[in-house]
Amino acid sequence: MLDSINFENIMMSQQKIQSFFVKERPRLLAYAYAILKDYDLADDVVQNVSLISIKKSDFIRHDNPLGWLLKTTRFEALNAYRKHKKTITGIDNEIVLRLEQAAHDLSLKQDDSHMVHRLKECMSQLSERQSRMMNLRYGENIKGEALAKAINMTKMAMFKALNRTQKKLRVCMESSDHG
Amino acid sequence: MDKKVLDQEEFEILCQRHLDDDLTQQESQYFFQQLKQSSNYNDMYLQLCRQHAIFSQFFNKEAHEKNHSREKQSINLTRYLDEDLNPSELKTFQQALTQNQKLAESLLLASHRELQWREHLKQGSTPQITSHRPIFRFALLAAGLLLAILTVFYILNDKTSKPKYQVLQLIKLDGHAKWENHSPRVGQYFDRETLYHLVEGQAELRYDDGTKIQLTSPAKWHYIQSASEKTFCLEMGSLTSSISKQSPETPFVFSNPYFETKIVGTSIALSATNEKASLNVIEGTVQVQHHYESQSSFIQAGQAYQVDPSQGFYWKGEHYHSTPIGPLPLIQGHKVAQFKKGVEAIVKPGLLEDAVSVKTEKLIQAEQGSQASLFFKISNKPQQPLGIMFRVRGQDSRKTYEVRVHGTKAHKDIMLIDDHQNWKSHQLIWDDFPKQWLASDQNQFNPESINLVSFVFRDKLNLSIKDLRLIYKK
Repeated sequence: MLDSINFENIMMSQQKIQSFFVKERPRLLAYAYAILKDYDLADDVVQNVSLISIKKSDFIRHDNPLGWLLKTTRFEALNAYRKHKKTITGIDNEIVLRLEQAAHDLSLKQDDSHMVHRLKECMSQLSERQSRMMNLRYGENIKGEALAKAINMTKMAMFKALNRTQKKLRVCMESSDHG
Repeated sequence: MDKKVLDQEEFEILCQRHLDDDLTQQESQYFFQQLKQSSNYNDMYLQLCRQHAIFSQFFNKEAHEKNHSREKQSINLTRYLDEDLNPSELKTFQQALTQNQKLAESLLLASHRELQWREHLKQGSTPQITSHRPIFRFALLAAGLLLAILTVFYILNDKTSKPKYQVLQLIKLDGHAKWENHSPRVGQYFDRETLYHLVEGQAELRYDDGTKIQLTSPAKWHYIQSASEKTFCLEMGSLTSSISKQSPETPFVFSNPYFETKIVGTSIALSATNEKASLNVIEGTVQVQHHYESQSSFIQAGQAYQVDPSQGFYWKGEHYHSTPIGPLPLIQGHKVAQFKKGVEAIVKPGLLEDAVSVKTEKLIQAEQGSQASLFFKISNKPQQPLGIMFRVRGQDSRKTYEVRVHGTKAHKDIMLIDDHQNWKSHQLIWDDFPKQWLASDQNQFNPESINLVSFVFRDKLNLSIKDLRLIYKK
């Protein structure tokens, strides 16, 4: 049993956990998104995790705060999944835990706001069609068949084009990072 | 699908299709199988998710900025005309007008239109297209007709999944109605996926398809609307509704914290609180799906469906088997009124086979010396009733609980539980998470282990005891 002094020593302060959370937010967001497949929902989940982490800062051990945050994200994400989509299809416990491990190991060279800034510069490299496709997919949330129709492509061609566009942006953002 | 090794591009496209809900069931299984087989794939999927999150942030922000400023100015214009702006808002609004000529022009035009409408509304007529020159009048009428034809054509042919954002309108409000956070006016459309809270009074809402909903306070609700889904989520409160004929592919769904009701066209009454939810079918037949039960059930006119975790599950239907079990008196013959043609339904305790949802939090937080019980049975076979009762006595509201289990072969004895050594006790308050995970966390750090009676209680995921606090085993 832990005595109270020891207990205090191993827990994180509210301020520390807040700054730690800000640093790790992209990781948590990616993990929540991987489970939920919905950006807005994932964003809400991460907001909730932020609130919980502040509320529970006294109970977070400083030897593994990331583990705690990821676990809380997992719980919150599954909770949100149940509330919004009613049933969980396909994704099971094993995958969720494997993704948690992957999220733990995910390399974060830059924070999201920095990446968003880079992305703005990289968008100029896209053709008009590519730019429109990205806008429709991520701005208007139009997916699959509807997106393919909107840009006058077959569905598989659209997925390939989308993948190539994203790769182009990824390379650009990463090279900007180095530069 | 082939069992070949996917290259990065192929896997990324598979991920993209998974994220866009484009995979067939078989493809989904294949995708999950890949995730299970290789940690590289997990890493790639996570990277892709992060990238998607960045794209979403970027494009959402752009769209939001554009819409926000337009929408905000439009709201400000209405408030300006209503003389509702305070001095500082008025100053900002005027500055925006002087800085942006295009905005000023469009607002001027809008204000002209608004004033024209107001004038006509005052006179009790609708604005007419007027022109002194017949040729213009004809051209305007022709353009209007063409626009109407194009709109009808577009609506008939629009099978894309582009969401219709606002389809639910407030049509009536009684004098005492009071809202929290939002104060919608009569005629106003509600934003989808926004939580509304009717604190007092009653409100009547109408969907564009004619479906009407009468809400009685206190009611918390939101609605989800897309090409493939039409759901009204009642988190708390009561409603009655008359639902217009729906397409069988996209039935109207009423959801509450415990179950959802699929309706193609009928009348129902629904009520939900944090503790329980009930449905009365007034006309027609509806399909009810408990959130944690695999099988759905059909409830007909004059029947009811009720879930009350604090008392057990109540079920009115032909599947009910009345078997007296357990030492606690069950509430028999609970009456549900308000059926059409005076039909009265008797709701009796019943059972759900595998998904058991029981909230014991209140019991666990009971004060010292107090005691409470809850009861339910788990069986759909009349010959093999399985009664289980938990008695939770709050000897110390945080530390020691007593759990008594009756009727199972494996757990007949009283189990004393002690969790005061659990440094994570405050984290165990989550009601809605797989308890197996919480238990394994706890077991990692504590000498005494927790075992879940998981063979008795399983939810759909086979992971947890839903909403049931941990069962501790000495």
